[in-house]
Amino acid sequence: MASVKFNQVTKSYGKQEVIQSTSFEIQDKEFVVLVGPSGCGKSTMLRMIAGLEEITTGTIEIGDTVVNKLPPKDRDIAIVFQNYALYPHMTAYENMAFGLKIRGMSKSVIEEKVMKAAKILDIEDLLDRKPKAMSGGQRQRIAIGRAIVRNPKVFLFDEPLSNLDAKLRGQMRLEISLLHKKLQATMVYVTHDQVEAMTLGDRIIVLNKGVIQQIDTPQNLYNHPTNQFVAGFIGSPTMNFMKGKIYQEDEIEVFISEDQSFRLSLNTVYGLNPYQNVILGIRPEHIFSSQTLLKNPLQFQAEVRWVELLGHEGFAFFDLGGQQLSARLRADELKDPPFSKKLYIEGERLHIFDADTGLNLM
Amino acid sequence: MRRLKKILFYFILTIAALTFLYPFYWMIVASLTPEENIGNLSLVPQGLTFDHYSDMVEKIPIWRALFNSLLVATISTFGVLVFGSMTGYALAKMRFKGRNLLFFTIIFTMTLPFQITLIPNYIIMVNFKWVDTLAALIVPALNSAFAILLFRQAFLTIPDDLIHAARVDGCGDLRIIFQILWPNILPSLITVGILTFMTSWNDVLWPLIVIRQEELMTMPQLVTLFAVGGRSEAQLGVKLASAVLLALPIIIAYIFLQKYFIQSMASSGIKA
Repeated sequence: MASVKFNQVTKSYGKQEVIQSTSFEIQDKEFVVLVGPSGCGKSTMLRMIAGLEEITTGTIEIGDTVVNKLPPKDRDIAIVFQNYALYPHMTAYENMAFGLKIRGMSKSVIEEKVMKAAKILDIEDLLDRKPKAMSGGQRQRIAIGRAIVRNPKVFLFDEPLSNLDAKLRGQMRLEISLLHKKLQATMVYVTHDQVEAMTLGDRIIVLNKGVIQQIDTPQNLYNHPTNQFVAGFIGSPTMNFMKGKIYQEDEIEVFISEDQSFRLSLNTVYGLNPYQNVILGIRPEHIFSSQTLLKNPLQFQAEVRWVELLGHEGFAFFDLGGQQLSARLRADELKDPPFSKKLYIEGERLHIFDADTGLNLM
Repeated sequence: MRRLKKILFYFILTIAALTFLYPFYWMIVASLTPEENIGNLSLVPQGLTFDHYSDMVEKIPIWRALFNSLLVATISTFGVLVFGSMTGYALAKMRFKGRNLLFFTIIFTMTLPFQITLIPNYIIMVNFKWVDTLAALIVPALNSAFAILLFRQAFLTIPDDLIHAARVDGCGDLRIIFQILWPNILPSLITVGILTFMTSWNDVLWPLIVIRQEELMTMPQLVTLFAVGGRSEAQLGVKLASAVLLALPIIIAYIFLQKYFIQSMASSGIKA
């Protein structure tokens, strides 16, 4: 196994720079997830590690080797693609054995490796089948099997679960996580699904428009996003945002929305510049219907105009300060809209972002 | 009413089929009929003879021509499949400057009638000193714009990730084309194969221009020269016997590959 190191790597197509100067290191045996919206450059980054995309400037190291000029086959990596990319004319066994055969391994060694991988993935029954005779989940297992048999230094996953239905996706997510523990391998995983990112990654790299926004553990990303983009991208449903200004009143800071219709006393002093334009951020799950157990309850009145029930819980949607906000509440706390309800923001979980730069000011 | 329509439909189809089949039937029957009875145009053979065939074998080196035709058509077909798919792959899956310009130029050559390029091609053959060699028949036919177009379109339907997976597995471009992509574009391969073989097999004009030695001639060329060149001494039976022998390989191939023939005609939109 090996680490992966990006040193001031950039990637351009003609004049368009899709990856801006990027440096980071993925540790040996680490599971790192690259996450971001479509077109943010995450797949390009993965393909640059694989050698399927050329690097414009900078260097990529796998282990101690600079791999810029090495073809994919010599990088000792394996990749699992979104659409499986299994060879349609070969059986599952042949698909898994193909790479080993090309590397000149003996039949007995190939068989041993394929059977071992098949056992790990519980796909022994599928080995004689061709891809078209398999379901999406089975195909993805074979694609993972093809990666495992090679015993590569680095495993690369390019949105491997996107084509699966929700139930199977959950199951495969768990299997990939267990596989990482079993193989103790360096894994780089690309996804646009933040649930996958949060559940799988030791660390997550959040990308937007070819720029790394934050590299951190899932919990830190959730609790301490460096900017508004990360705060909005991580967490489902997305964080509530409200534009406004902060000013001091009787030695505590007060937030007033842009349209001045909503005023919230923050009960504390963050030391922000007076009358600075800010964006207040609060996650739906940090708005409560009771103030018990809250460290710094900030009360407000919500005129709920829409409710989404999900069984045990639900979302209340209401307008506040000219923005639509949502709160995640227990189902029994919700009734047919419209209705008025007293709600409490946990002041400790508030985020305040600079309205111009989007940076977290707290 | 519906039944009547169906009967009428099949009646017209049968007439059309007979119209196409009769000349073939007559050609075969007449080639086996003694010379004096050929002119009767009857459906049933009047007498049976293989004399025309033995006469033909005596008069012209037909077996040598058959060998030449098979050699030229086989190598050309193989060449078109190999080089056509390599060019199609480059145009579909590789990124390089001028790729589209190159592709449109290749397509443009398809619009030029063969007669226009005939003389320049002949001059090239003269300069290469290939006139009166089989190279003059084989080399210019080793790739074709039509094959490139068909292969390019077929490769475009294959996801890039399949090629990326093969690259990570350790394949180079040639292995990707022949080991990964070929098995997945079989209908296109068969279409190009059949059409190239038939084009090469039926070609008369180009061989007439570049081949003069009898032992290097292809079958259609030899048969044409034999039939219209006076060596058959106005014997219809011998001419027809050579025509049967010329048509036979394609008829046999058609019997076995009927499904693919129809598919290839339909998919290429080309009337061969």
